[in-house]
Amino acid sequence: MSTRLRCAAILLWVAATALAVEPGTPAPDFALRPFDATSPVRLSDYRGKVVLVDFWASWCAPCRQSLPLYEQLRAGFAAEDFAILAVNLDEDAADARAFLAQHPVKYITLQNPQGDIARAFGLKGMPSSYLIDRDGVVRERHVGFEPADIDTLKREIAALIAQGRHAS
Amino acid sequence: MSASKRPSPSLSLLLAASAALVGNRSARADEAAPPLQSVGYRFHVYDEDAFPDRPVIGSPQRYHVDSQQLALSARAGERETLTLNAVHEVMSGSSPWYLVPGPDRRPIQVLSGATIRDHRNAIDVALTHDAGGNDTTTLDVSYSQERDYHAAAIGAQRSVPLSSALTLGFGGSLSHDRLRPTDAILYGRIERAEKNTWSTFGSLSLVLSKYAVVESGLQLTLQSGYLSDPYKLVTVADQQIADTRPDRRGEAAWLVRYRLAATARASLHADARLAANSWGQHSVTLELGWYQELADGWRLIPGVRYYAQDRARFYAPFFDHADGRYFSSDYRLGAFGALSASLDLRKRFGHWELSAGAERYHAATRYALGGADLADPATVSYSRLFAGLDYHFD
Amino acid sequence: MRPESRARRLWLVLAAALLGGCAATPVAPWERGRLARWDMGWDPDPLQAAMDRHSHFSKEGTSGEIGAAGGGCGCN
Repeated sequence: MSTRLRCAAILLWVAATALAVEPGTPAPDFALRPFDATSPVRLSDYRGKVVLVDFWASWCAPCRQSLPLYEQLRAGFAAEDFAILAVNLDEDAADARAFLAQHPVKYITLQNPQGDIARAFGLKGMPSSYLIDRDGVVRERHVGFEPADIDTLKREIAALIAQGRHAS
Repeated sequence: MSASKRPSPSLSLLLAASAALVGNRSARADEAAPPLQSVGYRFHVYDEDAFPDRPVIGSPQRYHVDSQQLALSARAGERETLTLNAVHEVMSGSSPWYLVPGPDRRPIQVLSGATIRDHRNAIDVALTHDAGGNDTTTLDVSYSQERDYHAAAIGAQRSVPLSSALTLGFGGSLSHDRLRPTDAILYGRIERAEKNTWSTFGSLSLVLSKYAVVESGLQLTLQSGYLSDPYKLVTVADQQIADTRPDRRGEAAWLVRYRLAATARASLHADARLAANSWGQHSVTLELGWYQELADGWRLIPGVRYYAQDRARFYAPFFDHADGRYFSSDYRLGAFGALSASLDLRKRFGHWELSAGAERYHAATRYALGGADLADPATVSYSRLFAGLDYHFD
Repeated sequence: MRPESRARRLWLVLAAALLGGCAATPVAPWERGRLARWDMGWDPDPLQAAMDRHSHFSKEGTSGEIGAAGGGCGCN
């Protein structure tokens, strides 16, 4: 690659990071195919619910740690207006399928091997999760994962669910 | 990750003891990660080639070392990992004593008559704190014990990401070594001696692409104290005197390491090193490795290594005149080079991993950096076999 | 060739290869799957690497590594 092209790529990258989705801004909509179905799932279909969009990959160690804990989170809020959409970023879908076969989850797992949705969200690290309110606005962003983060998430989700109830 | 695996009671006990040692930071009850990360055992057989010519005195059989390694890596807090590495070695054989000029001035080896039988025990404990985002700090304490040699060392190193692509590494260590040579009075060896080694390094690693990463680093080492070999003699003007080296040595090494994910199932490792020290030695090291993943959990890792050094200023097989202050005929200070090839085969069965491999190290004066006039007959080639079993908890 | 000049030439070649061109193309966090592989580590098997270093260190006149050096032994 020539120096000019390379530097253009850097500029593009800088521009992309400047466009990162921050709390308070609407979440970019997407339509992605789940691992276990053929028809795509849209983020906008979940308007009116609190949604946790989690970007993960099977090669990312903290992501592997997070999946079973997110499954507990899903079970804990099963009766509420809450959904988890996990966007998988493995280049080879087979790697993700193998991991999901070993560690099954009941929430929706979507495929994005090209990573264009991750780029639209302006991901800063792996994993990254975005907590989206009933109006489709990003309220919290988490980069990286450790088990203690689950408690913070539980509080944030409960607060957003309660907020929506007052408004309606 | 599997939350169902539990360490055995004895391992739990050992882990609890080590956690208490470092002050366990309120391990959470709901933490899904298991505390133990891996346990590994290795057995190595190291065998040096015998002398080709029957030596003047002593047996032609050289060093043979059987080594056992036991390593344990455990989570010791929410962000801490504790690594224990224990080594037990049994050494036997005879080692080169000194050289004398032959009729054609070709050096002839004299070996110490006695066959050495000794063992070494070493333990290394490292605690790594992970501040998240690849920012890690490691503290290291180690101790090595032989009948005639004790070494205690401490070290610290840090890795800090400077940007998403660039990571800085730096650290240092200090080793204090004590020597108590055996049969010192009988052979007129130094009775007790000490040496200190200070070492520091800095490195930068750079993500080049989705498939490649490179690292470059500089290590500086300063040694002071008794740096001679108490068991070696040197022929100076037809007399045998003790191996006599300067009491200081500075060394600099520059390293470059490159990793390439060449295919979806294989990667290339290429390492280069240039080193120079204040005793006038220079060396070049090149290493290549190929990590090939095969079907059914098998992995094959062939590797080659090239090493070449020139001689120290005060090295010669023997000295005709006693001019100068320092004299050594230790082949490690002479000019030589070595080519080695290794093969490592691994098989993973769920959480278990079995490994076995071999290395052949062929050293010769003709591979020396800048060539050499006289071949040191002590220049040694060796073979190494190893086997191991690891258990990974993740 | 004198060893110094050979070493210097190798140094120059390596430095040029490392610093060549502009910076590397940025790699996004989600594009690091290949780099995260076990076999892409600097020392994928630290136990094996420690033993390899120990046997080379005991036979050779010079040494050096990226990382804090360990303690000494009577082998050198």
